[in-house]
Amino acid sequence: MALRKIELKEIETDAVRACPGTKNHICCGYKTIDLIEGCLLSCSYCILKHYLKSHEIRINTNIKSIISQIDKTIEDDKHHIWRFGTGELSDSLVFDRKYRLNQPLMDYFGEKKKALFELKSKWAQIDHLKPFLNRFIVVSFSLAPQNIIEREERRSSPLYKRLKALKKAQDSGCYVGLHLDPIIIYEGFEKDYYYLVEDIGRIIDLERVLWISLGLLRFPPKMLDIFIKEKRKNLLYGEFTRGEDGKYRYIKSERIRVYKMVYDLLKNKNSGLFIYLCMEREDVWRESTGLIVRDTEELISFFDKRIKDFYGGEL
Amino acid sequence: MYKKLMRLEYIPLEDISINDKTFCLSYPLFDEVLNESIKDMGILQPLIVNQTKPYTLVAGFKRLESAVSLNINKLPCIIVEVGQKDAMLMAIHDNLARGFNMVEKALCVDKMIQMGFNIDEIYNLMSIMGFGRHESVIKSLIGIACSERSLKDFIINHKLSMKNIDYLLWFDFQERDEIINLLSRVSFTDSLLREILQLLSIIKVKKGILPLDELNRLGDAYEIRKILKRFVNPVITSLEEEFKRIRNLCSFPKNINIKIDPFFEKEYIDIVIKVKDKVDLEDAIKKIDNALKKGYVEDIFGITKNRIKRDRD
Repeated sequence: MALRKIELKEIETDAVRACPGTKNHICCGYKTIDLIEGCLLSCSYCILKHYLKSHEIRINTNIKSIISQIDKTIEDDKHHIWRFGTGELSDSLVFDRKYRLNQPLMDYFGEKKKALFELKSKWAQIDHLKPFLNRFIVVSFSLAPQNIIEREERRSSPLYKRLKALKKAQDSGCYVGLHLDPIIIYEGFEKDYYYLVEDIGRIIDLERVLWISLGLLRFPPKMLDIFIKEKRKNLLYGEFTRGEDGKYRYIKSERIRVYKMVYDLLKNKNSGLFIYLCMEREDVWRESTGLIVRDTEELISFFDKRIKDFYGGEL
Repeated sequence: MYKKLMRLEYIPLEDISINDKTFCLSYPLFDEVLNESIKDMGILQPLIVNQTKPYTLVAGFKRLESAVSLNINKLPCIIVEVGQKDAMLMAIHDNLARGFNMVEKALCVDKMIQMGFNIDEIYNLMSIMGFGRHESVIKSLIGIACSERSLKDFIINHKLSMKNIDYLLWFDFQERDEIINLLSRVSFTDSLLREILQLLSIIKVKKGILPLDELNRLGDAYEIRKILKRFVNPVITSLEEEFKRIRNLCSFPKNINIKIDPFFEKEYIDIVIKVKDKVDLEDAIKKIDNALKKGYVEDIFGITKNRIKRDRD
């Protein structure tokens, strides 16, 4: 594979946005910070390949402008406790040890004390960040069975390192987030997810997990040809349909079955876990978790409550 | 561009290297219409040859092919003295106006690469021929140029789109040959072919083999698609069939239509009633009420939840 050019540039742009969500599906109301566009990890299912037109990786070094945009977003709407993250158009940590991009943002959130900053990653390197971690930073890792990491996330950290990094973050006083996304249906995946949840429960303090997201594999139609071309047997194993947003998703009954399975596995470990579905329909929420989540606003209010439960009057 | 002046001469066939296809961009080489024309009128447009011994044919391969088949001994030729790259460009531009088919376009690009043209020169020609300037397009064109005769013929005979060609190139030679054999027996549109090839590709990735024996028994492209869909989307196919079955049981007249999300995602259904007066409306309501009482509407709601009645029975 060709080396990818990394361009560092001070750009004056709208870098802080509401997660674009997806048509007719319930979104969690996340705020994305486009600090980096592009990723080195090249996971086989990653839709960045489809979204980002450029092969280059662009890093916006205009931290001052980004912080002022974050500040404005927080000040403009004080009805909710906003969650911000840099892991939407890239991996939050893959470039961090070299470029030290997150530290000023972490300092800002630590001083502001009004919102949370999530570092979402598959790159288990957090030692350099430990001196800067504060209670308003949520260290999150995307977790998948090692089988899938080896085949579909080949450049990222192995599962045990991700779990170890989460533990380190917890030991440093941070809350953590877990993202089981994308969950992939392949032959024998049920057993692998069972063991994944076992590993999570064994290594991480579940009382200090702020949130867990579940999201089954979904992708824009153009990605289907990429999966075929690359003979991605795991990714093509299940049966797909087109969602109202035009993306391919597993058929609804399968999504409900799998969400329910993973949801129950996690809840059996700790019934107090806050588990949400990423970009799902109301009926899928209801059937798989038993929860009535009518729209994005309602899910955001669930988050507000969860965060208040954890932080009390601190936020 | 051309260093030497060109001159027109009648050249004996034996003075031309007829087996040298270095600059040949014509596919297929034999052209029935051209052959008939030459038979009646002779060669009206001179060939282009390079000043070598024997002469190297630069442009006019189809005319040469006809001349050989018609035993024409002397051919009108424009003699040029140019290097290999200039000769290649002459060959391309001599044919551009008539329009290349997909295989010929691929041959142009492939030969330019072989002759060491730089990427910008190749992209420029590709733009003229209507292609995007992308490495993946070059890869596909090389694939076409290097492909077997059966694929080349299939591409031309069915005027295949690049997308469908890419699908076919993805299969190995033997599979491709079997697919071409299968599809040569049926009629299809480009979009239907795309669906079939995409489904076949998915099956290949998922199962490792293609169900060609089963497909070879079918004589219709829609039937082929149906069988393939059942392989790839067994649940959706069952839901579609079940919906069709229940709709038939409802036996609504034409002015009542029940619609369901074709992807079985949405939870709601649409019941469209077209009426012109009160009597029509009362009649329609009666029929819907009847379907409700018999449980058919509930079954349709079950389908929106991806449930099939027989599963619940």
